[in-house]
Amino acid sequence: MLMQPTTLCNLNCTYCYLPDRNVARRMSTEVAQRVAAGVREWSRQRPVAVVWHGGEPLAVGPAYFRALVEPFGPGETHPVIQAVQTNATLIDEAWCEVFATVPVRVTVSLDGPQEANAARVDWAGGPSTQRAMSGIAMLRQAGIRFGMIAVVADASPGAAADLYRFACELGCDNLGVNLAEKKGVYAGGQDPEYSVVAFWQELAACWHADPRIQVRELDHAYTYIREELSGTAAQRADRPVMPLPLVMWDGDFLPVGAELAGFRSAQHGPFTAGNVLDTPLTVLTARATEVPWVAEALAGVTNCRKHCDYFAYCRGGQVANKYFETGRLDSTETTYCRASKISLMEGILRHAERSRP
Amino acid sequence: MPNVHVPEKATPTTTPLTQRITARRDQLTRSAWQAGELHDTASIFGWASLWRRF
Repeated sequence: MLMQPTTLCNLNCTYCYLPDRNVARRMSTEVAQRVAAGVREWSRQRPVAVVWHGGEPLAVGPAYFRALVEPFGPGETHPVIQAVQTNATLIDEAWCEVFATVPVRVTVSLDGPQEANAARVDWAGGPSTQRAMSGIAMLRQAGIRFGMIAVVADASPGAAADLYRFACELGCDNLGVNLAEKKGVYAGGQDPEYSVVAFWQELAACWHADPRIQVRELDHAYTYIREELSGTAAQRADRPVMPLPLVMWDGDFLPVGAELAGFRSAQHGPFTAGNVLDTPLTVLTARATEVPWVAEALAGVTNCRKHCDYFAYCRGGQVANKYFETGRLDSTETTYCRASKISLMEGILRHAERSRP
Repeated sequence: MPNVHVPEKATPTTTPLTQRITARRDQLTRSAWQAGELHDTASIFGWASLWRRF
């Protein structure tokens, strides 16, 4: 479950896909309490992850953030795990106190060494890296573990090695790598055919040489490869695709395609499937497939299953990328697929070809 | 670095992915068994890795 505590971000990264990130709209504690009730119910069946995203979640301030996360509690039969995705620029002693006393895991957004963060500017166009590094230093001093997610705008030779080395030296537990992509209000992206395979190949080589931290994308790909090698990939393909729902600041609910939050189209209308202030979360979820745009997105997963050789690995692609690239939700292969899934697998296979068993 | 970075254009192939993986079984096995994803949604938000530290 993704939660949008605020639309506001104190940064204005040039590749950001979010609309309204200069507008301060804050989630009410009532919305958080309604979602928490549904999440606690789900936790009777399975573990639940609640990820506070944004905007910049820390923009709501430490006291209000506490008020948002506390209703979720530890879970019922299974645990509720909470996490926050932050640009780290606002982390101070007060925030470290929150992270030390409230069970919320921290992942920071940073794109690598200094020069890799050129896109991560504030609203005055000034750099943000030093502020982020100061926040991360506070985390380290307080003994608070953290992960890192990087957006890679330049996949040129050496970029993967620089990024991996930086993440290791930063002291994070794990690294997620997102290639800059055409999405939302950002129209840029990568040339998927040329340098991206080599980028992933280089990242795989770095990880093999020094596997001290986990890399989300490699972990995902190698998990699929393991299932392929052990003959269980067909079962993987048949497992239900886990949705990644989002509740927006105002309580609007998106069962899939979280990055569509705040967007609407003439064909689909607003990308929402109800509001938690009107209807319990568990009911919204149960009815989600009756919402036309959600049904179209699920048809897209079915189309991927029918037509794509990579389905068992990727399991349906990203709903929002399909929309932003094609205007439809039931399309199949996108530039995102080629850059972040197919090229990644190709990079791993090339690395294997050049390696000794 | 053990595997020199060589930018090159992706080569289209008609060989199914499964066959390409099994053809490199020896090279891939160790890494594949090191992977430990416990959740199969690897999204931009990184929560797939949450379960590892759980």
